[in-house]
Amino acid sequence: MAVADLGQSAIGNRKSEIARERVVMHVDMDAFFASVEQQTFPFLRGKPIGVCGDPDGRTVIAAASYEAKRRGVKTAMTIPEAKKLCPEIILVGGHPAKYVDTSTRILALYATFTDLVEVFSIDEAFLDVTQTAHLFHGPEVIARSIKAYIKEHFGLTCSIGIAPNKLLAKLSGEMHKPDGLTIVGQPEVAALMETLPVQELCGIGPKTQEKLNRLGIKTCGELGRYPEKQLNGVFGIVGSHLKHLGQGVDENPVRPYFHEPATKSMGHSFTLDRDTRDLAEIQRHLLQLSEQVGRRLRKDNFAGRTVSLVLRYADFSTFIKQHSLKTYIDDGLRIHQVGMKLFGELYQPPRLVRLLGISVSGLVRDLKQTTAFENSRAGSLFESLDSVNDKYGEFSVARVIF
Amino acid sequence: MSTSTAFQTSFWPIEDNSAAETEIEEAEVTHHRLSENVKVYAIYKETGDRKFPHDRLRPVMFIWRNREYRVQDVTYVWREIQGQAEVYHFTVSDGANVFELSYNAKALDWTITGTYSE
Repeated sequence: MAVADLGQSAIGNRKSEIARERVVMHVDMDAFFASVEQQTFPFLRGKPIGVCGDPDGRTVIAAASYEAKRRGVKTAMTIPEAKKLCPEIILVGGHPAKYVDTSTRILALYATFTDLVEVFSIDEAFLDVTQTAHLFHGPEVIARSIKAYIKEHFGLTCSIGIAPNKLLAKLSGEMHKPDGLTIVGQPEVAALMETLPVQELCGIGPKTQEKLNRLGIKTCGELGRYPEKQLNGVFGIVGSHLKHLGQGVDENPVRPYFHEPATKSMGHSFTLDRDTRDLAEIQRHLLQLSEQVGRRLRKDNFAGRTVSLVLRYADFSTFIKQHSLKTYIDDGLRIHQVGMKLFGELYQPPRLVRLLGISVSGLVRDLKQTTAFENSRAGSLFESLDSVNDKYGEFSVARVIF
Repeated sequence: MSTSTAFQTSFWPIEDNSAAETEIEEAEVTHHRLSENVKVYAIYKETGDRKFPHDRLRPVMFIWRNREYRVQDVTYVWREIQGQAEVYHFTVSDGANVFELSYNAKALDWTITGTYSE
């Protein structure tokens, strides 16, 4: 574990400085999915591995171990691309339920230190410990406790950044990985930002970077000094925000996960095992996806009235079309009917289909008592089907189309 | 009717449309999927975390196909909801191979669900 570039006395000084500032912690699990699999299977430890949806299928690398990362393998690479860079990479099928369970347990750990925990992704979280750090002898003790617990109970490592805001906490956490602990106080911010390339900032993608580079801005220091008016001229109101980012200023609060905005849509997509133009096969896949969406909607008491279909052809060209109904639905068969209608409008025969996706948006909750809901006679059937699937597991009983 | 780009994808990312494709080679981890009842000897701790009781149950030995396996290491434990049942999955090693044992906390039965090797 490395406390980056800070001696013990420096840490002591930092503690008193941080005490006057907001104290935000960013915790990032190191190569999360890959590390979980290496912990699960001892024979994978120390080897380059890539976790993907189905090693025999056509998904991409969802996570690479550090051994694979050192060979250039990155997240979202296709399997052939990864194999080209690292021929000996071991592909491992992922276990989403395992990662979700691990993540849930780790979140519960964070919640023992503060109730201000924001879930950034399945393997990243922000903790605002400004008000609670003193109860645990300071933020550094909290960070070390988190690292020790995760190592002891899961055999995993994480990298932690501690800083006065979310932007800097994430930035500092990423400076020393894996298993790093980096503390950045307000006095260090200007020096840190001065030479930092703008693309290192969370929220600056390749397009924004290119625009900034065209203005002669390559580092955060340059961005922070650039006239705000001129930035606004190029980026609109985002210009001011970019200037703040360049200065290391971020006033966004840590938003507790139980205050997250309401769900806007629910959907599923599926890459077919092989490209096809077989309409019966396409219909079967769409029905299964629709049933999955319907079941998720009913489980959380949602109904929606806009159905969207995603269709990707073998050449990767992708089309999306949606249809809004007058009534709200949560029935997989009804979603499927609308999906097939959209498919009929979108599909250009005889092109080969590679991926199908369906989602429902325009969601409302607890609408079953109102007249706007398509309260069909099938309602009691759904309840029966759902109760069987609840009891025995997903798709114990399912509809089929002949 | 209008188009939209808002779409929630599945858990796994899908290929980027700029990617080239070639034949995908076989995975190098051998996984035999199983679903057989198995006799497991386990230690149950009465105290511990009730919300996440993963560490309270620990298999120490199991008998599968008339052969006795002594658990040298429990490498990972995770919980999954299957219908109304909580199922705890234990990946264990006997020093030579890795096995997955699953405990259904509702039915109170143990199943061997997989063996793994390099």
